[in-house]
Amino acid sequence: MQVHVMLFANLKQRAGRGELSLELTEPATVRSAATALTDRLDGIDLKGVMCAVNERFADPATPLSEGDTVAFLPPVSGG
Amino acid sequence: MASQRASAPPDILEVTYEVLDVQRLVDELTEPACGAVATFLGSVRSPNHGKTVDYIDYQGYDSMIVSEMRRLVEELRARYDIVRVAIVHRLGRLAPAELSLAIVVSSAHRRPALDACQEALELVKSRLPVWKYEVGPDAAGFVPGRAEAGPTL
Repeated sequence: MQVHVMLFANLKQRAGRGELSLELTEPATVRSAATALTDRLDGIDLKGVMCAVNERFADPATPLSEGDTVAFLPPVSGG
Repeated sequence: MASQRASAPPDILEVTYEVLDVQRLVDELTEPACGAVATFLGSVRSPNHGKTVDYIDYQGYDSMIVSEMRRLVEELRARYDIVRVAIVHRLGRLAPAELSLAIVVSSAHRRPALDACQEALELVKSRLPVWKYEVGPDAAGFVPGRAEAGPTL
């Protein structure tokens, strides 16, 4: 199944882009998306990164469905 | 109370790439029933930790910022007797002394407005998906952030 991935801050800089699609084998979770992303992007380091599914903070164990948007969010510094 | 809330004007929860119009927010939230309107404004600081800052590039996940603002305002409403809330975060390139954040909270009395405004600021800083890329004469980089909003990989 396919999910939409969004990257921000240093992850976006490192990847050279902020969005991509990932093909995952089912059943998929946020963690399996992270593993697939690391493979796809040459070992990009996701340690310490938070995750969101469809604009909501999510645990790495969260199951994914076809068409979900998974965002990888480095520690935030708004304000 | 619930029926009043249903008919009340909505909160103002926005991301903008323009100069923050604080007066618009204050005017919008100042109502006859509100004797208190508390405001917090955040601006770009230089020097920061002893280093001169030329500018900050604010980056964000725009749509999730607004989704998360809605959730944190729900939490504030459950804890404080407040009437309306405005939270506007500016993104893009900002120079020192430019405003990056405005929080306005109105309520009947001062204490809930002040307390909810302060709490909103803490939630904004810990939860909104926003990142600062700080640039100075000698160095540039992402400002170290907080990872309290959710579990990490």
